[in-house]
Amino acid sequence: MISKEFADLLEEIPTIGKKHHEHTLLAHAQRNKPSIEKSIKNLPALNDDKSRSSVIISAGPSVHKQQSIQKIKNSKYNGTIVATDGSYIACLKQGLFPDYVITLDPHFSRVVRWFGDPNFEKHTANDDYYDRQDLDVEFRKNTIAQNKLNIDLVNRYSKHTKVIVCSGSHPETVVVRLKEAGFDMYWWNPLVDNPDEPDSLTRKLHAINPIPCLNTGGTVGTAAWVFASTFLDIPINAVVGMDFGYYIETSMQQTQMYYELIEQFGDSAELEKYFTEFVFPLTGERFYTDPTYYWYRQNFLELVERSKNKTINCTDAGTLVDHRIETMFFKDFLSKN
Amino acid sequence: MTNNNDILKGNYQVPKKAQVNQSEINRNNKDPKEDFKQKVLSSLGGSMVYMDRDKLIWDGDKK
Repeated sequence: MISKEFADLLEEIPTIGKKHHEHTLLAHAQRNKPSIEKSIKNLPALNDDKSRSSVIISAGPSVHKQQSIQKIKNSKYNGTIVATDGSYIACLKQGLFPDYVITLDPHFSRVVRWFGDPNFEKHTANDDYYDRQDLDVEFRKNTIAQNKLNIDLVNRYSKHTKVIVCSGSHPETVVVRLKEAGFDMYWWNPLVDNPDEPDSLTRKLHAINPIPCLNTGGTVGTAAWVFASTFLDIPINAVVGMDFGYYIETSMQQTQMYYELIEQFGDSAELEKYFTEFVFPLTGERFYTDPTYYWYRQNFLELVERSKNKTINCTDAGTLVDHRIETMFFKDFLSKN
Repeated sequence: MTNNNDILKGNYQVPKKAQVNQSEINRNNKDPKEDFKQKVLSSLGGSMVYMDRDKLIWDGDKK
């Protein structure tokens, strides 16, 4: 059961989100225009194995705790693998080359780090973003030396993976880095509102760059799933690392909105109204989520309902528990597919 | 009973009326709720605007 305060905040997210990003998305789409040589429509067709099923690797904390990438490596799985930008380096470190890596967020300094950031020191000064994300814990203890290794790793293996890059990605940081690393790049627009509305931002983006628009549901993980299940039209799609929340032992201080909630409401009794708990049915483990992850989770489930292809939650953890999605242990999915 | 307003009276005309810069006042007195929303948004990782719950893909109007 979610509190009234939690529900009120959820209602506000889409409006403030649109206001916050509109100018940036249009400006980036315009500045990226000269770089857009190929769109996702130019991708080569999938072979039989790749077109049968896909695994989408998001960057939730379960990817490490459940060893999802290692499970793929240990299996004979030969379907399509789509990594989000945040899980890409973890894949490379474990010797797994995804078929695709997808990037979405327009931020100027944070996203480039997922590909190894040539301006690491400048971009990380006074930004505790990675300390507050329960994604890849390796990135919390990221150092200059580690970043250098990431740059080398991405440069060495970029040819094995096609990058699916959003027209809203930052032109002077992310896009420059992707080119420098030598990726084969395929572009798309974010579908951010109803293009049938006269003042639609999606329509404006498509007018600048007439390339396909994918619904993102607000996160790169959801965009990766739309790409695999709808654009590539793969009939069976497993998602891993799609936690949409935190392990129960994660302290509230490490959640993404903690500082803002404390500043606004002060004490922890008030704070609890902004978090809600779930039990993962296959294991009985407890997880909790905040309004933003809960909002992303809702978006994802609504899109799953609209998809004609099958989606299976193989995260083995987290809050993505609902009648609209099948849940299966990842090892069972890998043995069947 | 005498108060300060009875004693402190100006004996001259101010040549120019002070102009109140309303936009400056608005900027300094931000609505705390609005301010909070903006901070929430800037804290979101991997976030993107998202308003449409119907279409999964769109590639322009069919000709």
